[in-house]
Amino acid sequence: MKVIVVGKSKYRDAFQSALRDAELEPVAVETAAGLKNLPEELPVVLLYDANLSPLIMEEGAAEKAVSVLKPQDAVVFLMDRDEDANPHIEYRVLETASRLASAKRRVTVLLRSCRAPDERFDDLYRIARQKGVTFIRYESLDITENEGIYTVVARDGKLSVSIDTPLLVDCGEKPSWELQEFSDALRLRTYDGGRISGNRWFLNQGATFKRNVRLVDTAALSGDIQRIMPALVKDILALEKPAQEKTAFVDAEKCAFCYTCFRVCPHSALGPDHGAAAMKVNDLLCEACGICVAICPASAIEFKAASPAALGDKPADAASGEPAGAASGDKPTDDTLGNKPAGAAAEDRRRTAEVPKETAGGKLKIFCCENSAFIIAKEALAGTDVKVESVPCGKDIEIEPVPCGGDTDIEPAPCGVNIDIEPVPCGGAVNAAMMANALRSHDRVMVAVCCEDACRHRDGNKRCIKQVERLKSRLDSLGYDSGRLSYVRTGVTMVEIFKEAALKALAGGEMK
Amino acid sequence: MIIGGGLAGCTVAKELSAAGIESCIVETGASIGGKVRGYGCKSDTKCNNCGLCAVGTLWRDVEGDMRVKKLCNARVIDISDAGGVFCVLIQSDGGKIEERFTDIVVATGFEYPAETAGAGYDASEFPRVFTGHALEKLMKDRGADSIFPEAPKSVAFLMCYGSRNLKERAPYCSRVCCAYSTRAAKVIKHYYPDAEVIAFYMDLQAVNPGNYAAELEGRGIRLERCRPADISFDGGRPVIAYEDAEGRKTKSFDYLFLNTGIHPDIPGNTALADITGLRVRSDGFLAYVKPPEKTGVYLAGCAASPMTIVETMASARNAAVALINNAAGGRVR
Repeated sequence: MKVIVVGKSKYRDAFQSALRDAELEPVAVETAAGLKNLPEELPVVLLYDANLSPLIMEEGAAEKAVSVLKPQDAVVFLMDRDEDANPHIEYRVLETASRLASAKRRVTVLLRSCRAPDERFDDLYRIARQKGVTFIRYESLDITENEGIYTVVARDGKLSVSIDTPLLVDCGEKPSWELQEFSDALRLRTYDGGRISGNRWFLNQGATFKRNVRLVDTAALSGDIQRIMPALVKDILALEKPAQEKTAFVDAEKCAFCYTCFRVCPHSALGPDHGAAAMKVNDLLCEACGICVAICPASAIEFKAASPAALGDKPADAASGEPAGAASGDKPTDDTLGNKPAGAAAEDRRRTAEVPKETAGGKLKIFCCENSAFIIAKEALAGTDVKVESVPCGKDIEIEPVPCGGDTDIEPAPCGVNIDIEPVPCGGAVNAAMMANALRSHDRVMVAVCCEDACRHRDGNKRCIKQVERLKSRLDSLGYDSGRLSYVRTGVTMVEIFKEAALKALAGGEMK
Repeated sequence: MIIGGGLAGCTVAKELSAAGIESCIVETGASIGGKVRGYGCKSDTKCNNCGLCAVGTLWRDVEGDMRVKKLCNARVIDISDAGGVFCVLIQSDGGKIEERFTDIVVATGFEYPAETAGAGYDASEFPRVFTGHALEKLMKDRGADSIFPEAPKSVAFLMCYGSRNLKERAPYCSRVCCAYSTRAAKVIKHYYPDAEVIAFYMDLQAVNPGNYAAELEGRGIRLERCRPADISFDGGRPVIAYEDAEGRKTKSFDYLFLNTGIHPDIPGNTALADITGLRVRSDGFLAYVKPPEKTGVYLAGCAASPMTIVETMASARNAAVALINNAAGGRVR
């Protein structure tokens, strides 16, 4: 199996030979342009050296810099300036500071927080203090320079300390432009200034945001390549044989986006996919433990054998996302779609073709949150002929049509009008695709969710209303009638409000 | 057997049913649900944490539950011990029936105070005066943009009405009136931002964390710490005479809300205490004499003390769990 090894690192040859030992075929790539000629699905190992101040990285460099200073001059190491330092930077700083302090230099380390990722660090901090290193914790800094003397004012909210020093060592990591180029070519997500992730102690899967790319910070490894080789090879081989394991799979249409799975997953395999308004499983992290499958309140998660074909489809499914499709803006050429939204990827259109006209027919469709609106729907709509859709969760309500008439100011809906009610586990479960599909078969669509702050999941009502507004603006921009879509906020007893909203929606009025 | 089919009784029934225990609700009203069924959600655009959502589908669940037998329009006449089980005489529509039960849950709830209270306010004759349950009905039936038939200019809330009052035999704080009335005041202020809303209070429970009084003032609800001296009526409009720092004042309002508290049903509780072995406390609520595990008589909800919706459900679940554990372990009397 071919593996692309990218990056200019002095450990590149060592990596290549280690990969060969694991019976893989490493292909070295020198420049970002070289990546273009290679197939995209091949695994990539991106090697890079963190670009740090040479004073802490090179043996003897610090001593050399200090030797030209006067004995009373202070040396200041500045950590955590832009972002928290990685453990290996911390390690280097503590070591260098201790070395300088034992040579009877005044050494100060400025940091935001003392971290001790493992026991080694406890010892390092202790030794540094014994040798006479001063640690100062700061929250904000001011640095001014005057003829080669830096004045650092460190504040921690209450006190401030001012230090003059001729040698200020900024221990922050400078982004390397090469790394930025490679990240662009591999389409990795980066932070400002070209940093890919805050934590690159060594191999960090979660940091790459792309399943076939592995970042290796060789500076942090210090040449100890064998330490990460088993994990790296295992990951690369897992890419080739995905069919062996089953993984959890989230059905984006059922997903209530309630973050329950996100909270319970011990492997951090589930994450939000805001494009599709649903959670998404990271196949490589999923251990198929079944916790999310059992706990999902919307029964949206199932196990799926990760066949190669499915793997090919899955990211495409989740990534393209129906709302994105709705935004694509290709107007329907088919007249049978009529005044329907261009909700509108080919996938959608195929689905409409499969669903014949007979299921369509209702005038108004209401998506009701099971926690509020669905409870009162029966009471509120007594007075209309209501057809209830059977729904996947198997909860059915039976509403007998009763004679019209009521004492409300609004005209009761004429008998014979169908209102389809579909309960949803949470307002957050309603996504743009569901509403767009409902608009195909119904004249009007309403969503009834809980009052603000009353969502039992996590802001499902807010997300739902956002979705409604987004879809409305898209319908507007495509030249369709966005008044066909409305929403209402209800509580468990707001029968009148629900009824008014439903009748208004039926009449085509705008809701507040 | 569960005496009382209100919120506490239904919660107990639902919990027992989930544990596979059959129960029978004896309810004096025409249907289960009690007073809470007439309550209305008190959110404006935002949820005000009234707790009514927690009730959710409870009524429908209990009504459709085959494990729960519902005896409506029925009351318990007598309970006798028949060797480890209770033999209960129930008066219902079809005449007297006798049933046997292993445990009894007392969830009789509370009563509204007499409509005519000591200070001479009479709510029933005046359409512009609302007591607690009338307020709940307003909240329940409100439309999307109106509560009252006509937009009010000024609304008064009179808190602690009928509680903390020795004449009414309610020398305690009902704990819920501050909550429901201030929530309702928020809703009214939301519907009618121009209306003047004044709450006359004795002291204010902290309904939400933080400085609740400041929160209310921030919403434009005026808080007056005084007990109005007199209420008269001018063409149907309530006129309140009260005192503040500047002296005595008289003010006319469009609507007056009397925030009635939770009162024990003293005759009912006394009769029930006689046959169940519970005792009536000095304030009229029921209390245990012996631990319920030994007697098989459990207390749930507002029969024991004033409680909010959420507290009632918690106490009902507590009783249900104790009962279920006891049923599993075998009771030692």
